[in-house]
Amino acid sequence: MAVITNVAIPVSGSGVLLVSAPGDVYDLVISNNAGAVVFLGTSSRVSSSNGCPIPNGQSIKLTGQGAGSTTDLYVTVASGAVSGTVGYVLTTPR
Amino acid sequence: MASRSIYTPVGAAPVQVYTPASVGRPHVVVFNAGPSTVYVGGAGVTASSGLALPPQTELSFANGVNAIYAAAGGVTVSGTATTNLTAAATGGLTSNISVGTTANFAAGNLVQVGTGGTSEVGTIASIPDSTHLTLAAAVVYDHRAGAAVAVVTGASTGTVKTVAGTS
Repeated sequence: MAVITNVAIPVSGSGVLLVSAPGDVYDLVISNNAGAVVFLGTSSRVSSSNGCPIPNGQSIKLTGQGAGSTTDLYVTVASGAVSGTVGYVLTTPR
Repeated sequence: MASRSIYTPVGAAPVQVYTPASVGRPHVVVFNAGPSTVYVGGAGVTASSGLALPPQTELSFANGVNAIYAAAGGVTVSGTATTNLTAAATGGLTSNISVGTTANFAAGNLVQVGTGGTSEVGTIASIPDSTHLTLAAAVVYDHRAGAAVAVVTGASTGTVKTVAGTS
């Protein structure tokens, strides 16, 4: 049976660690409630240039064989003047 | 509404794999149909910064209002066609980069500028003289004088399938 983790991380500024090496997961859903677009990537230097954009109020879903990442995931908020959260739900094999 | 599937070859340099529709509520699924991990993000996506998408994995955007780019990893660079910036290059602005030498570089070569998280790969459009390389597009990141510039000799290749539509 899978283990489900559901976390919301307060975010502001750039290079906020979201999730440590989610690795071998079944599904990973990331929801942006930061108040502005955020950019998702695998470096603390993730930016609007290199990151994967998630509009405010929207979510993205990563699914498939070995979904996830062997490195940490970071987010950068497009506007520094926001105070919200980015949440994630990941489903891992037990 | 019907969805549209597009297969896009992905190499060392970022390539746009999805363009949002201008009307309606666009949605898109980005699927890695190739044999190796690709990296997804903005126009400056690299293997060291983008979101890793392993083979046979997909990324779904319920509201895909932003363009999406992808690049393959596994970049290797030449040991001989290498030089350094002699002046800083400004992200979004500089396409004609100043280098110590253009020996062993050729138009059409892929070159990696910088190292680490802000390294990026571009294409040499032309070589105007012995100390300048003109890239097909401006660099995405700021690079200091002294940053490494080297011809890309190898990289993983992949295929990204996007299924996009509007609702």
